[in-house]
Amino acid sequence: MTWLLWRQGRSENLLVAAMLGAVAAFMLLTGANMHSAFGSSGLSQCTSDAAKLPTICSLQVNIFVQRFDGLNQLGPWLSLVPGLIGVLLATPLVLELDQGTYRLAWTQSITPRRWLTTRLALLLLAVAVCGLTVIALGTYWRQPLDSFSGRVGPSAFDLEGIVPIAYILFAAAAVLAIGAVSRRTGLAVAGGFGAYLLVRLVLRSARDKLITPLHTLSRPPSGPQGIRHSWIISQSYTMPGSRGNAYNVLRSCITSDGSLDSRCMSHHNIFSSWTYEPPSRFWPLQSIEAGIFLVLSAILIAVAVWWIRHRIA
Amino acid sequence: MVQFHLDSTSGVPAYLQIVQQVRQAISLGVLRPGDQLPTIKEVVGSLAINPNTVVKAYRELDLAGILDARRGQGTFVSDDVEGSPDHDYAPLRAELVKWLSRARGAGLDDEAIRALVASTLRTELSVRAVA
Amino acid sequence: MTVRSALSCEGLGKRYGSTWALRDCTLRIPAGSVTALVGPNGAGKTTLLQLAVGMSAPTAGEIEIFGWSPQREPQMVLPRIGFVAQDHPLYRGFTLADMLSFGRRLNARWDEKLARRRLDSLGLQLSQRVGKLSGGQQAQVALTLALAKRPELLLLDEPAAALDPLARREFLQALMEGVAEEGVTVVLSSHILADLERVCDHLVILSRARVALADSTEEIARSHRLLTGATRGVDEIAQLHSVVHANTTDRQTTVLVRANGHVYDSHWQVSNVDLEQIVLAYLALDPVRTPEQPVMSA
Repeated sequence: MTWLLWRQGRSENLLVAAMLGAVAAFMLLTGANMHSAFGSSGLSQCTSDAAKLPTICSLQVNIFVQRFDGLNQLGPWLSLVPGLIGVLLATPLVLELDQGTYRLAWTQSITPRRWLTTRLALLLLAVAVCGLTVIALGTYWRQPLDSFSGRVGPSAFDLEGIVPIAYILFAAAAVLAIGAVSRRTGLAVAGGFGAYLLVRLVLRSARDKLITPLHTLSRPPSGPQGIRHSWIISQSYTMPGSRGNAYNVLRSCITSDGSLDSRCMSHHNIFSSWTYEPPSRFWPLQSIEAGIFLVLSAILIAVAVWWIRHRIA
Repeated sequence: MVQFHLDSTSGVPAYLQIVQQVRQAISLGVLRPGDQLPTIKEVVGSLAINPNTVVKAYRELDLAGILDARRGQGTFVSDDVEGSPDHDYAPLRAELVKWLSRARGAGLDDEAIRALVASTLRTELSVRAVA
Repeated sequence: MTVRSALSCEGLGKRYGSTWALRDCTLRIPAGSVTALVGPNGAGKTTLLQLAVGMSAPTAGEIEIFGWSPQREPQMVLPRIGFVAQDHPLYRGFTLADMLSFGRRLNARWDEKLARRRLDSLGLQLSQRVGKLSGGQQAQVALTLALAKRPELLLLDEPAAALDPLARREFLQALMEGVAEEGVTVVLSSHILADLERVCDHLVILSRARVALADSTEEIARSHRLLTGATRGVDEIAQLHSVVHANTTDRQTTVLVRANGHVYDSHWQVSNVDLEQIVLAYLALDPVRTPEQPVMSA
C-alpha cells in the first residue's frame, strides 16, 4: 500500500519536496552567509544577555542586523510554508474521496479501515518529517540572529522548537476535514489553507496572552536582565508616581546628536516600562501553542475519520 | 466458421434460435459432419449472451445426436448426422400448406396469419419443457 | 443439495438519516448465475451493492457473501469479489502499467497474464494514461482489473450507463467471455433493460427501496402472462392469480399477472410477455400494492 500512497500522491509529494528543497537552499545559503559574517566579525563577544554591552557591540550588532534585515522581513512569508506543506500532504487523500477512487481502493484486498489507518499513519509521519526538517533548517538559519535577540520573538518562534510540526499538522487536518465532508478538493484546499491562515493569525496576536507577560521598569538606557533575548511586546517611557506625560518631559532630554541623555532622564524620574516574555518562556509558550494546534487537529481529524467511516460509501 | 445471430424481437428464446441456426447450417451444408462449432466463449464474445444459453443449446443438440461434445477438445458436428434433413420434413411441410389454405379460406389475410402463427409459437415454444 | 449462495441477505436495510435507501431485502443469488439488478435511480441498487462489498454497514438485517459478512469479515470477502463502481473510478494520472501494478500489489490473488492479455486484445498499450482513454476503454480497464482478481463474485454498478451502444455491447461481450472462462457469479445493476435479457439468467427488481421481484428469468417468463380482453374489472382474475399491473382503456383491459397455474378464464386472451414488459410493469407499481414475492430459489 505504501507504493500506492507514493504513486497516487506523487505530484503532491514532489511539490512538497521541491518546496522544502527551495526553502532549504535559501536557508542554507543565506544561513551560511550569516554564520560566516557572524564568525568573522567577532560578534560572538556580543551575545551575552548582560544588562550592558560593550559599546563596540551595539554598533556591530546594528550593522549585522541591518545587513540581514531583508531576511528578517521574510518571516511572514515563511509562515506560509508549513501551511502549504500541510495542504499538499493532505490533498492526495481528499483526491481519492473527490474522484471516487476510494471505491476502487476499498474493494481490492485491503479493508477500508486499514486503508484509512495506513493513510493517516503515513500522513502523520510525513508531517513529522517535514516539520522536523523545517525546525532544523530554521534553527540553523536563525542561530546568529537568535544569539542577539533570542528565540521568543515572532521571527524566530515560528521556525523553531516544535510549533512548525503543529502548524503543518493543523493545515493537513483542516484540509482533511473539509475534504471528507465536502468531497471537493478545491474547496478543501482553499478552505483548509484559509483556516490555517486564520487560526495562525489569531494565535499570533493572542500569543502574548497565553502566558501573562512580565512588566518591569528599568532605568534607561539599560533594560531588565535578559531583555535582549526576550520578546519585547512593548516598551514605553513612564514617570511613575507622576501624572504628567513622560514624553513631554523627554523632549527636554534629547541631546544635540538626537540621542537621549540618561542623566537627564533619571533626573526627571523617567523610567522605561517593559512588557515582555523572557527567554525562559520559550518552551512553555511553544507547548501551549503547539498544544492548541494539536487539539484542534485532533478534532478535525476525528471529524474526517468519522465522516469517512460512516457517511461515505 | 458459422456465425450466430440473435433476433431479440422474435419472441423465440435465445437458446432455441441457436439450435435452429445450427440445424439450418447443417441442412445448408455450411456445417458438415466433423466440423468444429465455435466455443462457448467465442459465441458469447460475439453475441454478448449468457454462456448458459449456449450451453443449453449445445446440450440439446448433443442429446439429439446432432452434435458431439468431446471433452477438452470442443463441440463438433456429429459424424452420423444427415446432410439434408429436408426430406424428413416434407410431410410436415405438406400439412402446413394445407393449413394455410384453410386459414385463407377462413378469411385471414397474410398479416393475420403471421400474427396467429407468431402468438401461437410464443405460447407453445416457451412453455414446452426441454426434451 | 442446494446450490451455494453467492450473495444472500435477510431483512437487509440501510437508512441514511430518516430515509431508507433499502428495506426488507431478502434474497438468495445462486453461485454461477448472472443476475440483473434493475430499478430506477434511487431504488436501492447501489446501496445493495455497497452493502455487499462492505463499503457501508447495514442498518438492519444481514448480508452474506459466500457465507461471510462483508462488514465483520472483510478479509474473507474482499479477495473473493470484484467490484466495478458507478463511473468505473480509476486513477486518471496512472498509466495502464501503474494500474496493473496497483492490482498486483494490493491483491494476494492476481492474474497478471490475464490482465495483460485482455488489455492487449482491447488494443491498449501499457504506457497509455488512464485519463486519456475513452469512456468505453476506461470501463473495459475497470472490468479487467476486477476480473484479474479472479473473483468468485463480480459486482457491477451501472457499468455501461455512460457508454454508447457500441461500447456497451463490447463491454457485455467482454463480461460474458469472462463468465464463460471463469465461471464467476455476476450481479449487474442497470436501469437500461434492453441488454439484460440476453445476458442474465436471474433478475432482481428493486423499486423504491424494496424488492419487487426476484427469480430466474426462465421462471419469470414462464409464470407471467399478459391477459387481454374487453374492458372489465380485474377482481375476478385477482382471486386466482397475482395481478401485477392492470391497464384499462375504454375498449380493452390489459392485465399482467403472475399466474398460479394455467389461466382458464375465457374472457381473456392469454399471451406470453417479454422480460422488459414485465420489469416495466413491476416498476410502475405503487409500493403499497407490491405483491408478495417468494424468495428467489437457490
